[in-house]
Amino acid sequence: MLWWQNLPFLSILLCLLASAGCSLLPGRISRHLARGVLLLCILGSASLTAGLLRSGSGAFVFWMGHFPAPWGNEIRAGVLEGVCACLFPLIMLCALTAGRGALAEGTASRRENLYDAVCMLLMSALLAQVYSNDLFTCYVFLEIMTLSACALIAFRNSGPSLAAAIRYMVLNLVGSGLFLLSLVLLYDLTGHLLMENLHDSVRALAADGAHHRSLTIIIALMTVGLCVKSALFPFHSWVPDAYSAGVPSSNAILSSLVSKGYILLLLKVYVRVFGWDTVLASRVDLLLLGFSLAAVIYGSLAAMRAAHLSRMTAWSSVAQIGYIFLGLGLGTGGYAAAVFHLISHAFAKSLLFLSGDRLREAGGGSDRLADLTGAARRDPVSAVCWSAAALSMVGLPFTGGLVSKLLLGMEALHHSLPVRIAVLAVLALSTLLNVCYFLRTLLVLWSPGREASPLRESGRRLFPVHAACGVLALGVLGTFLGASPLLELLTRGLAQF
Amino acid sequence: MRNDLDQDLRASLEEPVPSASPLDQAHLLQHRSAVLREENDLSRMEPDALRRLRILYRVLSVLVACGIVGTLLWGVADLPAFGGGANPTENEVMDRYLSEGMREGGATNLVANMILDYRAFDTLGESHVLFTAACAVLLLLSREPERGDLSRSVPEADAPADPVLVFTARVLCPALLLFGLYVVLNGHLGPGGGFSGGTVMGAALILYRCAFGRRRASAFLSLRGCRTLTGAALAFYALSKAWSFFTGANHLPSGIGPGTPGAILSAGLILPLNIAVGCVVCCTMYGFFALFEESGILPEGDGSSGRSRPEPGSSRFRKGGAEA
Repeated sequence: MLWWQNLPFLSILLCLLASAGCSLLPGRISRHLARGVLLLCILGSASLTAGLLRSGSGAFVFWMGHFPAPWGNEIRAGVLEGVCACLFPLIMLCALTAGRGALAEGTASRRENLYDAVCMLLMSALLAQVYSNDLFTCYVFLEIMTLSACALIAFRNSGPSLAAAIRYMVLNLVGSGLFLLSLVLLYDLTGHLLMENLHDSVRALAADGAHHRSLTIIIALMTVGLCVKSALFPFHSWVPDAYSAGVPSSNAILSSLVSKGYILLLLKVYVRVFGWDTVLASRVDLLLLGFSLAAVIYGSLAAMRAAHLSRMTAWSSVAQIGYIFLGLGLGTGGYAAAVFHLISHAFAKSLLFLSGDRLREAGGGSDRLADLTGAARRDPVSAVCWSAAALSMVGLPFTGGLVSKLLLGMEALHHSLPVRIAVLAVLALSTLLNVCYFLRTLLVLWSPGREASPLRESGRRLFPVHAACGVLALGVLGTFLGASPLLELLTRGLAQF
Repeated sequence: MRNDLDQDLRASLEEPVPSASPLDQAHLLQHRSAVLREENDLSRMEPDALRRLRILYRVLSVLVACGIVGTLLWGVADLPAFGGGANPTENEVMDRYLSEGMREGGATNLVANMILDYRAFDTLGESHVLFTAACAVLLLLSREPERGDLSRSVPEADAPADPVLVFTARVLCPALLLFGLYVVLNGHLGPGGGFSGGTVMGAALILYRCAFGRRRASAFLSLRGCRTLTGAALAFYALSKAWSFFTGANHLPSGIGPGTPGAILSAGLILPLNIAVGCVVCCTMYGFFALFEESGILPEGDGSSGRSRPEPGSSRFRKGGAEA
């Protein structure tokens, strides 16, 4: 066992320990603890990925205890897991840094330490989700994700955020319930919870043609359960409230991390448990394709009608989640596109929420589009960051959004004619719609508006916000400039996933 | 019209819920209707049409639920018959748990071996689920200043509590606490363990609080004490398991053996872990009750303003019992 193979389990347990610590420490210390631990996680995952690449070996398993896999728990790490485990703490670090000012304002600052504790729990759950090789472990940490996301939404403790949190919880528990039901049925059919053993049993069942009906229901339940939790189109009703009612860091974390964690789990279930052939045989791929195409159009249309910046951003996530699921629905060839879009969208969406909140400040505390006229002149750094993210959403050159749309379009060419036409038409139409509402907002932002009044905050207080936004903006740019190495990394990771 | 609407919306977005009630109904309604009007223009709808939409909504939801129930039943009918000897669940995984569990884990309670030794990572997650819930509730309900947990708050008027309740609590509380402790400590030898024993102890503390009031209960275990105990127990759990995961995966000797099955000090980490889980469960239950009571969520008593303290009384006990 090489030293870097211990890093995955260390990062999970470090986050768990930090959550217990944060809940006991005062807010001014807990924020440093949380950020320090996130930094350690990033460094650890980076060295894990480097170690994996340098050794050239495939993924490895790590016993969580003294017993081998089907009896004990185990985690498994490969290149894809390493990349995701780098990305998630990075985005949370940026969100916590940039959103700190808004966190203390208006709400009791003494609860900040609990916010950090919940964030740490969420991070540990995300990491466990990424590394877990056991479907039941995934379910346990899924519960942590649901509850902590709920706490993040409700943090503001105002009427709208409480209402949004309750809606979020009800719908997400439905999703968890469906996932658990399918897990129970699957265990009944196979007698296993470990992904490799499940895969073998499912393949044997599919080859026999035995229990075809229940297997189909299991795949459908698991897919729908995770779709509800990650807000694919017909199950998106909780999104606009949940993503706009919380504090900005919560919005960024929810839209960029929590939903992505569920999508990654679904990908893992497809690749490691069922195998794409079994999913094809159950026709669930059509469900995914239909829902995701509808999501792309519906989300963009709804975003056009939104009058507030935060709600517009929230609606645009519905459309963007559609793109990721489109990649999944296109099958094995589309996985890389899906993961690529997952990464580029995670950067861009958190940037939109975080810099959007600064623009709200610049607009005099209101994020109604009409009030934002000329906001760019009052806070140019945030406005530049916001614009970069918006361009990535549209898919213009020099942003990661272009690459993922290109990948999706190219993958669609390998499919049958109706699928090809539908996907390409929807891509074109949605790009057009994205241009409409993002360009409109950009024009509003950058047009000369009211007298430029100086911002309330001093430059020193704004520095961490701008630095975090800058890092995310670099991520948006980097996913374009480094697209081919990243894609190669992802393909390699998917091959050993 | 438009301006009114925006002002409504902005006001409702900015304004925190007054501490009078955590979920101000009117406030919520105002916000929802403002958002709905903005997005769907429901205000233009006739009340009649709205009513019809509502009926349609209900009918549809019942239909969808029936559809899901039907599909699930249809799928379940396809599963292997329950309890069959040749079912896929009767495999090598279960065999080893049953035949080797006692030797490898050291606990005569095979379930304890499974959840705290073989699959300890899952249980570590499970106890953090409780912790997450506790953090979420604390985030929503904590109002008092951190330091002055109880000492600085308005002294409680010691209203005469119901004598029946006080007598019952006096008899039951020690017995319940002892029994809970026994269930926790006996978790590796027989049925029981941290989750069930912690629940019993939590219930005993809640009963004590109902009968003797907040101040005396807090002298025994304050909210801050609950948090410290939970944090310490979880940190101990995570650290000890980190050691066992690390040594297990690297094939190093952990120095913790199974011991002689059946002895009270046996089964390696299972006993300490059961105690840690028991602490977490007990503190979470009791902490929920205490937080609910202090923030006036419990229906009885006028604790809504956060200043006037609910009186301990028999009706309060009934509610408390339902809560437990």
